[in-house]
Amino acid sequence: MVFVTGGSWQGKREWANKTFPELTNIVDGETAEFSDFVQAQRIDRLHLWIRRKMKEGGSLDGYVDRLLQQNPDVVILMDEVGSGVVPVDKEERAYREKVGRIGCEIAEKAQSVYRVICGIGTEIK
Amino acid sequence: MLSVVTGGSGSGKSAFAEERLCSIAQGEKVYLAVMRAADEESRARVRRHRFLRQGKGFRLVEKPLDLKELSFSGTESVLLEDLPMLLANEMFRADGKAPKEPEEVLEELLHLERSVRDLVVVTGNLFEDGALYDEMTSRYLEVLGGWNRQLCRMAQERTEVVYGIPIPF
Repeated sequence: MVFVTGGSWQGKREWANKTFPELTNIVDGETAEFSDFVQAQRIDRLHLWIRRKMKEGGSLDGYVDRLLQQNPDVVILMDEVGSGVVPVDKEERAYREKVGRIGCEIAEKAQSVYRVICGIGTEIK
Repeated sequence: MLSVVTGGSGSGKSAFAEERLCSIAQGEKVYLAVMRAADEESRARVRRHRFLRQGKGFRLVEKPLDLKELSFSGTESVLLEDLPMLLANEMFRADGKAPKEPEEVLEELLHLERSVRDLVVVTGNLFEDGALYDEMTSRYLEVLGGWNRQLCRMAQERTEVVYGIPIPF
């Protein structure tokens, strides 16, 4: 598992296209389901999937492990969130927290982690 | 030594700060918590942090504001969690007293740093959401940014935590 993170609009997808050109089966967290994740080579915008799942009200525990078991070579792209003023809205606060925790879990289990800022990726793990 | 740990919400900065404190401490380890657990969300946060600290031998000191009232012997290693909360408590005091000037609070913080062996300060990156805020919040961010700069100038080590990965800077 490879994890690519960084703020929004920093060029993560473009960077991933250049760095991993062999990955053609790409799914997007905005619309894909977990069943799509397990057969994809690359997952973009995982945070949007987390947002959707939280709206639906389900638990998000255990997904990272399941993904790692069923698709150990996947490349995951997810925004780095949480570097702002704590939101007034309770759901927004919970969302940031959840993306943070899931991001920590992915980063811990990934064999490498890249952070993309201004289009430039740095290997941080 | 002074160590500053920063990062976004949920970045894993607390867990890193605890580990760091445990590895540098030689005397007593003190967890200085400034959060007032007034609602269920805060209480859940406190429970989480308590769970993380379990078995690490920290003495818990809860002090939401007025850090100058604390006294230490110069041998302790203190983890202060966290600076954004301390500033909020001081600026928006709940006890009806007039808030101090931010310089005075910073002086209390620097006094704390001088009176312990090690201080690990957990602060936060609240500065990158690109949003415009009201005057009060802008002032809060300005002060917090100033504190972060000052502490990082003085610190022997500075670490940003990104999804649990420490990045020294």
